[in-house]
Amino acid sequence: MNELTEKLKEVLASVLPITFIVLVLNFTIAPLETDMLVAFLVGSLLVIIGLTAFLFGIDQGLEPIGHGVGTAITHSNSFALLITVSLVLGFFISYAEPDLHILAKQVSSVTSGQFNNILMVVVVSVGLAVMMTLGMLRILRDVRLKYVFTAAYGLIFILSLFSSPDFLAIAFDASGATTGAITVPFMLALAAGVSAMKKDSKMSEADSFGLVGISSTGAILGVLIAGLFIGNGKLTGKLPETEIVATNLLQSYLLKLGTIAKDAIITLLPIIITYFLFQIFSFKQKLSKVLDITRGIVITYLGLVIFLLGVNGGFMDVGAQLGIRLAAMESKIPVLVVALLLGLTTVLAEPAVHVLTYQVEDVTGGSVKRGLVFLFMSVAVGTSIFMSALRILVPGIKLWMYLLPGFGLSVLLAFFVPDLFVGMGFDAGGVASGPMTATFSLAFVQGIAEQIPTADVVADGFGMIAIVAMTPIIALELLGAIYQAKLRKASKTAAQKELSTGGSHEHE
Amino acid sequence: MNTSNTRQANAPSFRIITLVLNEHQCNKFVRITKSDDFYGGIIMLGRGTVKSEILNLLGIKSEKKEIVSILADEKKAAELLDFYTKELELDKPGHGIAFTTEALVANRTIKEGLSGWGEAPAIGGESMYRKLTVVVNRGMAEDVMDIARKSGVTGGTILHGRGAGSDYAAKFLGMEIEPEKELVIILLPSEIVEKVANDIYTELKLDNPGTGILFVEPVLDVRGLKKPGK
Repeated sequence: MNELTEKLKEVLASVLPITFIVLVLNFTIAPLETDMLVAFLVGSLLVIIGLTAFLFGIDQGLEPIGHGVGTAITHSNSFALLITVSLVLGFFISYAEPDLHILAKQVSSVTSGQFNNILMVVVVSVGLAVMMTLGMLRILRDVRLKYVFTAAYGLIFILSLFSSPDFLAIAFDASGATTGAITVPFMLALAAGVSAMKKDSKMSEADSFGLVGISSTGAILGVLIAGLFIGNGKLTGKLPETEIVATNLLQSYLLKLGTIAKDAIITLLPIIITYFLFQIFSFKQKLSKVLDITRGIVITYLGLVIFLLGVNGGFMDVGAQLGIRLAAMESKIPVLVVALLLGLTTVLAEPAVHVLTYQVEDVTGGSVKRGLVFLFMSVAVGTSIFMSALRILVPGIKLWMYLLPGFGLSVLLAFFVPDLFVGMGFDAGGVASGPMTATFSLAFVQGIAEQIPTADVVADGFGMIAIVAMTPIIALELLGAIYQAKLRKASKTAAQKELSTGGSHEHE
Repeated sequence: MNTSNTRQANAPSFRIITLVLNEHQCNKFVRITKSDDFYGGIIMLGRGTVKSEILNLLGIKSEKKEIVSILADEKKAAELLDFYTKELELDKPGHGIAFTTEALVANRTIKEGLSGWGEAPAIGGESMYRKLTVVVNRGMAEDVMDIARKSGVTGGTILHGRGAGSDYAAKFLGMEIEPEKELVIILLPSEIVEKVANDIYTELKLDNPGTGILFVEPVLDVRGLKKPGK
């Protein structure tokens, strides 16, 4: 049972901090209604169970599929096949993402139907598919990540000059919405599968990352380019009211179960279909292996449904309530401190972040420690939620004041740190904005916006994801710089020590 | 260079200690390890089997393991093994395993021009084989193979991991930062092992500290290898 208890311990360590903070707040400055508190505790339990199952499922199902598809495409040695598969797969995994459809509906209503929701989903998916294909070609053609990101973000910058700030925020949110809990692990495995075939091991390692980051830019570019044609003035419409909160606990969970169960199936569908096509034409695995993978998919599915149920049923309302309660207080310090703490802790419970940290360890043979990646991501997301809260409280701060220097710095740093950390960083940007952030933290920030008269719920609600996607890039690139410096220094001191002891490893 | 196949009295002998540990135990290994105790080593990630029926039913058939291989002096090896057994409580079930194997030649032998290539007892008249293992920094494995190929080796296997207990592990916020390493395994006839090892040693400048380690182990029998030169 070792493996199970180990994983459970790890998940507990990821979920308990956020639970603890909410409980402390409840008993001190922001008491919650009993119903809500109970729902939250039940939610935490569901999140723990769901996340544990999900992580096991990814290992057994999604990871082998992604890796296998990546290897098979590369083996085929056919660019036509690579391009076709990436385009089709990229389009459908994005199209199947429920978060994207929710965002598209919101956008449709705030643009008074000008930016139709189906149009939005299609341009985002096409953008993602195109960039994902370029990302795959890049691995095989040895184009360094820093050039790809410089080009992509350069283009985004130019396009953003022709777009309204609100529209830019929507574009970034779209990229966060497409990179969900299922897409990210699959893309990570796919990239690892393709790059594992490369001869140069150092390049192969660095190339295992970056695909998620590149694909994310596709979503942004898609929205911005579409915006050029249909006009992108100031947002005028109103956000659709969120559904009415159910009267009792059981109801609030049951109501959500149906939608979540359906959405999760749709998200998994493109990957399941891909697997069966590859199984028939390429893998031809034994029945026992197929059963293993099928079981993996089922466990992933159950885990995801339980996890999302916990987050949506128990966390979202608490997030909004905390935002409202704390923002209503005289002093603005508590709300800012809590924003930081919530950011620090929610990212730990983000499923795709776990998958990313495991891949980092695998790819580097354990050299880059999971704990360090978690730590840096945690600080990054903590900072970003803090920045989001600050932006709402201080009307003078505009979104571009964060994004322009932030992404500028991310691209600049890419030229100074090892490629591995560049890819990891940009992937982490896409990974950090998962279901936990998109529900709990977003609800918290929107809760604050509701209390602040100068805030605009629509404009301030959008854009938080963009900040969450930005800070991890910088954080992990900094980790890369530290990493490089530490190793260099260590090898220098070791060499000196070596010299002073006569150059030999003599034993006493 | 001494090409004698017999082991000389002054040639040092080496041991490889291999430990298979879980992640937690491996962290402890790194903590308690003093790099002065051995020449160097590598930690690699692997999978271990899971026996629990319940877990197998859930599809959990393997668990994460870390394989530690370190190169030590013959005299020091038993002491080290005892030390790790005690500290990591290896005698308790589930705490990991450790074993020692013999190595004929390592960095130092070559550096000091000693001979330790060992006798080559032939089985059935066939030429005997040796297993040459080279641990180098990440990205250097291809260079190792290039040099080996020039000296007549037909192929090798590359694994990757991180440096174990070297002086080069830095600390950051209480967590070790260990350099990435690659391990190359080459099976080769004993006639050419000395040349290949020497070539790799000199061309990659393994005498510079921190560049890499190299050792040769005896092999009893091999199958499936292409005969060199044919």
